[in-house]
Amino acid sequence: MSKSIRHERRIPELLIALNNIGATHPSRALSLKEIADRLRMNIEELEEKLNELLKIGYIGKIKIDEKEKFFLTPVGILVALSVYS
Amino acid sequence: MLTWEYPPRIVGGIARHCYGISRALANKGIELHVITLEFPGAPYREVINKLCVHRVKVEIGNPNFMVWVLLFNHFMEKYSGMLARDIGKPNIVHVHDWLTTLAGITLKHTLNVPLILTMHSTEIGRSFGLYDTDSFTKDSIEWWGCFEAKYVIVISESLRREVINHFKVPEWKVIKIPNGIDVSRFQVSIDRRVVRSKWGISESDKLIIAVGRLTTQKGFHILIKAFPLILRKYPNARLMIVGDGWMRGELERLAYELGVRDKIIFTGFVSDQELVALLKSADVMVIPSLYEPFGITTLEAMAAKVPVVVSQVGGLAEIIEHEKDGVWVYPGNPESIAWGVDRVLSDPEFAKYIVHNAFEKVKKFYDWSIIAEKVLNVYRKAIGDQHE
Repeated sequence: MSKSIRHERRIPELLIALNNIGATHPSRALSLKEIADRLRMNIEELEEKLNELLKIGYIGKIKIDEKEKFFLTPVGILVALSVYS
Repeated sequence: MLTWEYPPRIVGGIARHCYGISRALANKGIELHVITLEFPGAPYREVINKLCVHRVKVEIGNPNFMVWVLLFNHFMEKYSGMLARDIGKPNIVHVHDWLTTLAGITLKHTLNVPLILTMHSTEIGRSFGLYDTDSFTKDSIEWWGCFEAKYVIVISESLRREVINHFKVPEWKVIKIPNGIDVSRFQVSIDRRVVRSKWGISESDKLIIAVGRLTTQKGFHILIKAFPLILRKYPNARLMIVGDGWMRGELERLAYELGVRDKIIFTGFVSDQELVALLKSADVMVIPSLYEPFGITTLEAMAAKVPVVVSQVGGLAEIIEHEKDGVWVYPGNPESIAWGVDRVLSDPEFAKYIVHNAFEKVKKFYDWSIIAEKVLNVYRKAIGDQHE
């Protein structure tokens, strides 16, 4: 069981991190670089993961000043926090 | 009342519990302020008669979950302190689970009021052990909360034993008050054919439903493993899994591997109204949890008059009496789940019998107004103790 629990913690890492840094609303959306800096992640890897999450609706994307920014959708917030409840 | 989740921010059972108990307490004339976290689309302040919901903005973030919890506790403390300054200090501070315990302890000492802690589960139970530094910290906060609280409310007898034994809390301090339900919400008529057709299910299909967060603890992977066994006897069976969570991808993969993906519907999150309709159109509900201090979805199924098959664990085994108002199956055992489903589907008279008994039980023991009275008694006791 402990193996699957450890796996549980890895899967939604990015969703949880986005929740915890406050990217939970379009008005608080962050650019790729902002997220990569805060989470100390490689931009290419981050972009790939974000695109995956975008497809399933856990992440939203908006354009502000010609710059793409990302935020957690309400469903994404609830999925992220499902690990901890 | 402090809680990290409150509708529409529904992560697990805590939100449903806090929603039900807060409305029931307000209906009894108690002025209640719920301090919770913001959620997109929800107002920062919402007043419903005697109930006021305050959604606190968390101004600073941190990728680390534990740091984030400490930060939101700070913002809850700050907000609650300002509220007490504006409207006067409360008679009671009531927190739910470890997530808001630290803010509650600060408020207890700064406002000099009794603290009540409701435990909905424990870290050691949820995670099947303590295995990393975060786990030990959560466990310590839970212990600290039990120590600081005047009374600890727990939602089942199994959780009461867990809390007393694991945290070494005196027995007198730990009071069992179960979750409740608004039974009237489930007394609506639905057109079963219309509800089913929306999801591509025909009236003759045997619809098995399961509801909850898609996490290991809830045991949906065991139910999916049971499903091919069920299909052998009921080729027209369909399984509907309602809810979402980190495990969804894994569960869908498992369904593919077992060759049953086309027979399983993953609905994701649905509205409360839709949930009632889906429950009422199902033939049986399965709750395959591996750890379940209570299992509020059991009450929902009982109120919706759908027969229930539950793992014989924790609160589920306390709510349901085997063969009287539901069916017990062995936790973690696909064969046993398949047997339990067959027990209900193969005997319509038995299904009617357990549904009738379950509905009478839920009305008699689990209505929120009954539960609220019990919580009020704990408040009165705590306030009385304070003045002695």
